[in-house]
Amino acid sequence: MIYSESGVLDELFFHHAPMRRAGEASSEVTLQHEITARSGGGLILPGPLMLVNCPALEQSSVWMNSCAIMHQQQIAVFAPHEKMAGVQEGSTPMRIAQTFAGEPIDLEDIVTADAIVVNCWQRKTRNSRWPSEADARQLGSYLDAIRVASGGSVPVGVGFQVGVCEQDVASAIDAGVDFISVVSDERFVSIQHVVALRKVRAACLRAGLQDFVVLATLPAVTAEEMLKLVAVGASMVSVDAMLAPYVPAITDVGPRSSGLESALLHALEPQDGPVEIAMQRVAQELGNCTERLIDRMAEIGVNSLASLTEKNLRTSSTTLSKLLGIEML
Amino acid sequence: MEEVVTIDCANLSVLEIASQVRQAQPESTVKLIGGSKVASVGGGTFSADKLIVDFPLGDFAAMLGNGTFTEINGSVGEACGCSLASGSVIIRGGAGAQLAVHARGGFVAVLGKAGDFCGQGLDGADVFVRSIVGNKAGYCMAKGTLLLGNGAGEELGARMRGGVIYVRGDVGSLSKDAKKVRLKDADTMRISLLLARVGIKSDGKDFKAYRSRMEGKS
Repeated sequence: MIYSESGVLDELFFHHAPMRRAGEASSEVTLQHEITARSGGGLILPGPLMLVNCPALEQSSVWMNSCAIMHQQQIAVFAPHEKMAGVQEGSTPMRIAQTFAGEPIDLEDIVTADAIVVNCWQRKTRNSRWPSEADARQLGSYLDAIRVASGGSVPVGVGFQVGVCEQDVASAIDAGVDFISVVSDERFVSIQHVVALRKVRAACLRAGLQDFVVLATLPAVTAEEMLKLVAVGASMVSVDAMLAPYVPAITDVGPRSSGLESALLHALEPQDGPVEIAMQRVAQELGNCTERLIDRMAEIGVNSLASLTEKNLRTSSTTLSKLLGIEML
Repeated sequence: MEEVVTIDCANLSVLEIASQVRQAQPESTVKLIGGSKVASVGGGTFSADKLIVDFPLGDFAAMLGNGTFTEINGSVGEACGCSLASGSVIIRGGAGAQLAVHARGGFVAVLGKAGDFCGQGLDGADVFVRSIVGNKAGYCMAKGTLLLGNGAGEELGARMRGGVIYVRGDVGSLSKDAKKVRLKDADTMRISLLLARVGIKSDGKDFKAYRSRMEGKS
């Protein structure tokens, strides 16, 4: 079957639990997910959602507001430590630091992070490679060095682009990663994203890791799509694609502008200007998404994300049935 | 009197060694003994003033080091001093490839030889290698000083964007991204100060200086 760009998740359906009284199950559902890092440190994922790369929400005029919204909705945030300079400690439920191949690592960034992702590609060129200081055989030592520098208890994961081969995932697991991140900058969720998640899950199961965290920076747009990705193998899904239509337009002045210019711009904006309205819509959209996730999990009959697996799925596609090992409708 | 804490690293994992090192008091000296080619040791921030390692280390030694004086009585593997933030790392043996890669500050000195890509992506630190270095020293260097005491291999300064490389002796070949410049008084002063940190007396005048061709251009 040839999938349209947005079609692959439409071929997956949740198998519903027996009917429950309205509101009965919702109170039992939890979106938190506790893992014990293989290095010994613990981590509680605040929920299945994360904000990875949204420059519009990171601009200085709205960043505090964005942090407050993410804190309220319990959404993890990928942000460097210098962005947190003016943000009150504890204002985001989880901050994830990132490093990229071929770039220096900022010690302050990783020491203050709740989790660290070592991305195996170059930020500018998107070329896949092991961190330039390490290849697969050295990856374990590289990750240990980051753990030592960050204090020993911060979970460290490895990020791959969609299209990663199983051998690389297996190497990362052998090296002792605490979690894996799968990233794509495509516009729609396609079969390759499902395949990537399955590869990671298969490698984890072969290594005997039943409960392994997989971060999926994939273009899911609705709560339903996010839950399907969780069922396929993700532990957290990015909200970037979902928020894209709602985020405020870039209003930051350039880096050479003076503080006076930005103060004037801010003073000239009406109280309920387009930026404020956009941020309200972002908060509302995230709130709706979280509620929908909880309701949907209750309808499916699962109380936690860890118990949502491909066994809760059915499909009308032979390809997906074989790929995921699930029943056909 | 300075406190000396000795840690026997035999049968300890990297994280266990790091945990014990972190427990040392400020202004103390930590001495590591009994290990062999342990990787990833000596990085991060800890209270002790000085860390002495009495055995060879593996890869990523002193990675992300911050503020400590680290002395390694042996050789180190690859990427020693990777992303070093500050502090000093003195290696009395040889070093593998990618010495001080992306190091942002501090001082790394190797009294033996170093491998390829020495000072790769250097971003502000000072690096000294007393003996021979491999090829592509100063690769993608952005800032800082690379001081090579016994010549350099091929492609010196490949993709160099900034900083300065001082070489005493022959250079296998110079990359097209680097150019030889006149040695000024400020350069000889800097060389002699860096060499004095490892106990070598020199006026620095027998070194040659190389900078990036891109320097000064937007």
